Amino acid sequence: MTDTLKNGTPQIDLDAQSEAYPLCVKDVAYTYPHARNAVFEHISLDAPAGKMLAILGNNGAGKSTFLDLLAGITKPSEGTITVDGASISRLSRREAAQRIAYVAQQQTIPHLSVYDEVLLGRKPHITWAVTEKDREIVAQAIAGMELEAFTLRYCDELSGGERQKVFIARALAQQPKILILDEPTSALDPKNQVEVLKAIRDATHERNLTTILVLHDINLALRFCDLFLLIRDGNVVTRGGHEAITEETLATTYGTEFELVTIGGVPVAVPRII
Amino acid sequence: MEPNARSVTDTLPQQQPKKGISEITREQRLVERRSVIMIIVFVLVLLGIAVAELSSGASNMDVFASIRSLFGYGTRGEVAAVQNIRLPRVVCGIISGAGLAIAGCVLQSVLENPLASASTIGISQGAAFGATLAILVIVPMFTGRVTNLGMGTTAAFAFGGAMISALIVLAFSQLGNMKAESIVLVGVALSALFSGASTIMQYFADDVELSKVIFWEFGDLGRATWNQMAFMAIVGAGCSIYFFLNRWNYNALLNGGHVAGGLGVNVKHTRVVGVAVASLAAAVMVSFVGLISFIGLIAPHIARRFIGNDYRFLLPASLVLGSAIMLASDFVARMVLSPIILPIGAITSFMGAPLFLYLLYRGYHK
Repeated sequence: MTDTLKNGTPQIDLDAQSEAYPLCVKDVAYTYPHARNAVFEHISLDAPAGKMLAILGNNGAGKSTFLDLLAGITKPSEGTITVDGASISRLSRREAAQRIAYVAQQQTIPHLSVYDEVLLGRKPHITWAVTEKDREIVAQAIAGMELEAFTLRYCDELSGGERQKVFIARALAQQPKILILDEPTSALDPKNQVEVLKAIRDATHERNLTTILVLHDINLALRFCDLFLLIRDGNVVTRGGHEAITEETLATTYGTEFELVTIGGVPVAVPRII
Repeated sequence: MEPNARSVTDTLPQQQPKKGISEITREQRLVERRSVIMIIVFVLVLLGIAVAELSSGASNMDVFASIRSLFGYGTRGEVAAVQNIRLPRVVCGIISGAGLAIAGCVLQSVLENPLASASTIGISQGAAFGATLAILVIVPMFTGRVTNLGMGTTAAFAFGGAMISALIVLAFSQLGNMKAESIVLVGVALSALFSGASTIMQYFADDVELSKVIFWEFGDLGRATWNQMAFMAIVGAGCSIYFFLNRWNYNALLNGGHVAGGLGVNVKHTRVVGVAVASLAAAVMVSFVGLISFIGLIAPHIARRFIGNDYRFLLPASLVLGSAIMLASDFVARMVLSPIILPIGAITSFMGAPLFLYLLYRGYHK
């Protein structure tokens, strides 16, 4: 697990040609309809392929709203989001879903079999009937998440960890370039947290995905992610590789003191009780 | 949502031999084939009920004589009884049952509420209000009190009332911050409003007029003319085709609107058009056959128990089961106290409610 830490600390380089990045966010702002103040303004971000980017921020910082913009579910009030060189606002919902997969923080648990749920990931690609290729992709996504034993079980009969894997398998069946996950581990026990994040990281590397996650657990983010974007109430505190995470930036982000220690070569952030 | 006690099963995959990619696909194909077979079984059941319905009635004919008469071979009386009295009932039952069931099935998806159907979102009550208005006010205004009620006018007003209900429901579903699930509450309010208005009109009506209203509300499959049935069939078929084209959207909506959006569904459009088309289908059926409730609720739920929630198979299954339940109810209504024909609306409710309670008790989707 420490290999991500040793592999250097890639920078989010704003000066480089943004076309090189699968996902480019330029100067984006979002204001809710009928609201006076923007949830956030002037957020820019270039996300590289094959890396995990964690978004950390206080409750209400606008992280989930930001993810909705990245997923193309809501449109930004200002600024542009470019996916693979194409502006996301020019893509139809279907075209966006062919490129971007989204796993929500909480969702209605459907009474569908695991297979049918993962098959829904093919929805943006299916025109009329399910093809052999679709079936192969679905079966591979199920096997990739080690869900073979659950194929015909119903999603609402599974445990939280299994269910989260089903939703990630559904996202992978979309064959996206960009994978967006909103707090994928918040409802899971430690074993499942590690398993799910490992699975996400393996998929990111194997498929060269641009993975963006909102995480509340700083330590899980430090262990699994390569890049970080820290937000406080809609404002970017800092961004970058592991070096961006310091006691100061964490204190600014969450509004409470942190102590950063190293245990067994792994950096661990502990909030101080004041 | 909550991590339940099943997390013990996390360790199971390691203990069981792993399935290969082809194994996963093969298993799923078996499941899909099973669903297709179930639908074929439903069609056979429907055919069986249709034959039973065709060969039972006031004039005693056996099954073979009835079928012969259906194709014009037999005494003039037999042919007339089957072709002019029984056949229209059967055809009308198949069309209206299918239309009400598929409308309910789609409403349950787009409104994300298992209780949604034409009778729970106020469409039936709107139709009843329209029919009451036509019978008590509009028709007497033009034709005087003693003439027979104009069925065409009544149906047109029933349709108008149903669509007013549907438009109010749609307006509410358009008001962004309203949750899809709460639309059924709008329906509850509308039902109360329309029943209240109907009651006030009925209070001032005389006995003859009142009985006409009551008979309309009882529901009757023998009321529609062939032309009206053709209209019902065309609308029903058009709506069903639209629903089939949207089957993947309805599957995606089982995950809630937010996730469906991420899967490429235009959620608002799917919802609004879905409610509009389903209301249209239900309104047309109710206008011509009267208040026959519970079909739109119960047929999809029975289908779900056999087929699951996959709308690729659930839509055709609901369609066929709706027809079958409608015909079976009519059969019961005609046979229980034969030759007296009980009101079919009462039979569907009387048989439907206990069945529905049973489904709720067993967990409606398991």
